[in-house]
Amino acid sequence: MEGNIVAQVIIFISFLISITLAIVIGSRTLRKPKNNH
Amino acid sequence: MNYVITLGMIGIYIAGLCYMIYRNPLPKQDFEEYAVGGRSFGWAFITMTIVGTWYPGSLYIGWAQMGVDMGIVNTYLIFYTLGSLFVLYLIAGPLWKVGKRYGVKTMGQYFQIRYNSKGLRTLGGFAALLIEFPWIVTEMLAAGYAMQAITYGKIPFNLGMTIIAVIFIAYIVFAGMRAVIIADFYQGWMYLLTGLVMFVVAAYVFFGGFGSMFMEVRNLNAEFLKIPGAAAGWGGEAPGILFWPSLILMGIAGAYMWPSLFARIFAASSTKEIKASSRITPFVAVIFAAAVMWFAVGISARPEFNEGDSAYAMVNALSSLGPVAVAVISVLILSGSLSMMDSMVSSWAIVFVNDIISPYTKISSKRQTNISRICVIVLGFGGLIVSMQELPTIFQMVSRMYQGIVQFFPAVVLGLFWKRGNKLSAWAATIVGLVVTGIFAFTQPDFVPALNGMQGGLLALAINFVVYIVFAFVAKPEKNTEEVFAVQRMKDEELEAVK
Repeated sequence: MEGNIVAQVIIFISFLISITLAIVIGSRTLRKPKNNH
Repeated sequence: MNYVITLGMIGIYIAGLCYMIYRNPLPKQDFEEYAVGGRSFGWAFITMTIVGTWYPGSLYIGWAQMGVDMGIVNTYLIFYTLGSLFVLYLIAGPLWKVGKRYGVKTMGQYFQIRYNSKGLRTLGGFAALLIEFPWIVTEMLAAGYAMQAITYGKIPFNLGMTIIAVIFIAYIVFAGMRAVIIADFYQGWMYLLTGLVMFVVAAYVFFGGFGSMFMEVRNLNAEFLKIPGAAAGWGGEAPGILFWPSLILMGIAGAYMWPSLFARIFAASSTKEIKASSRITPFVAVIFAAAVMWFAVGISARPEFNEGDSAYAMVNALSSLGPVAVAVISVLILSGSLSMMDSMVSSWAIVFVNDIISPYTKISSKRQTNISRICVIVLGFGGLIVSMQELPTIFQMVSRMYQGIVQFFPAVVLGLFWKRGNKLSAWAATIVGLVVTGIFAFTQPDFVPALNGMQGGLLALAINFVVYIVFAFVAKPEKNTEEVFAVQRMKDEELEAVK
C-alpha cells in the first residue's frame, strides 16, 4: 500500500468504528417503543 | 491494489447505508409519515441529521478552495454555523408546537396558519423552492468529482453524477423523509468521527499540528490570516470590510429558512428532543468545521497540491496520504452531497405538494405521497441535467442563494415572537425583500462596493424588517393570532392530549 501507512491505519479504524456505531446506535434508537412505530 | 482498497471501502459504506434504509421502511403509507417521518425522531437523529444536511459535499471543494485562495475568510462558516444553531434554539420549540397542533410540514404552511393567508403559503413554497434549487447543482458537481476520484478517472464526471442521482432518488421514493433522516444519521457519523480523525491526522502528517501549520502560513503570506483575505484570491481587489460580517449575518438568518432544514424541526418527536439536540450540535458541528476550514487554509502553504484548479487542492493533499485517504475523502464528499441532495429534493417535493397543489385541490394523503414521489424523480433528474451545463463558481452560487432565502426570516421570526405581525406586514415585507434582492442579483450579485463590501441581500433584509414593523402597526393582527400563540405556550403533553 502506498502513502503514509500509520495515518491510513488510524483513518481506516475510525472509518469502521463510525459505520458500526451508526448501524448499532441507529437501529437501537429507531426501535424504541416511544417512537410510536 | 489501490483501486481495490478504495472501491472496497466505498462498497462497505454504501452497503451499510442500504442496510439501514432497507431495515426501516415506512411504517404506513400516509403523507405525514412520508413528509416529516411521523414526527418521531429523538435527539441523536436530529443532531446527526442537522450535521449531515448542514455540511455539503462542496465543503471539501468550494469552501476549501476559498481557504486555499483567500485564507482564513472561509471560517465565516464556523461563525454562522454557531449563530444559526442559536436561531434554531430560539425558533424550534414554538414552531414544533404549532407544527404538532396543526399538522404543519413546511414554512409556507406555517405562514398560512400564522397569517391566515393561502397566497402567502404558496408564495413561501414557490419562492423557497426556486431559490434553493441551485444548491443541487453545487452538490451534483461535488458528487461527480468524488466518483471520478474514487474510480481513478474510470467513471467520467457526468456518469458519476447520474449514478449518485439514481441512488438518492431511489431511496427517497422508497421511504421519503424517513429514509433521508436515517441516511443523514449514518452520514453524520462519517463526518464527525472519520472526517475529524482524518483532518487532525493530516494536519499532523503535513505540518506537525495546527499551530505549526498556521505559523507556516503566516511566514509565507500573512495576508491569508487576515479578513477579508489575500487580495490576489479576489482577483486583485478584496471587497470592503463589511463583506465578511455580512456573509455571517446572512448565513445566520438564512440557515433555517431553507425548506430542507426547516422541515427537520417537525421530524423531532418532542420539543425536549430538539432542545437536547441543540445543546450538543453547536459543539460537534463547530469542531468539525474548524478542522476542515483550518486545514484548507494550511494547504495554501503547499503549492504542490494547488497546481491546476485550486478547488481540488484539499482532495489532492489528502489523497497523497494513500488509497485509504482517497476512499475516505471520496466518501465524505459523496455522503455530504447525498445527505444534502436527498434532504433538498425530498423537501422540495413535499413543499410542492403541500404548498402549491394541496391548498387548491382536495387530494387524499396517499395521493399526496405518490405525487411527492413523482416530484422527487422530476426535480432530482432536473437538477442533474442543469448540473451538466456551464455554471458560476460554487461559492458565488451559494452566497447569491442565501441573499434570497434570508428574506423569509422576518416573517418567520417576528411571526413567532410578535403578536402584532399580520398578513399585510408579512406580505409587504417578504415581497419588498425579494424584489430588492432580485435587483441586486442582476446588478451586483456578490457584494456592493458602495456599501463597503456589504451584500445587497443584507440591505434588503434590513428594509424587509422595517417594512414588516411599519405594516404591523398599519393593520390589525388576524383573529387566530391569540390561538396560535396559546399553542406556542402549551406543553408537549397538553398538545398530545389535544390531538
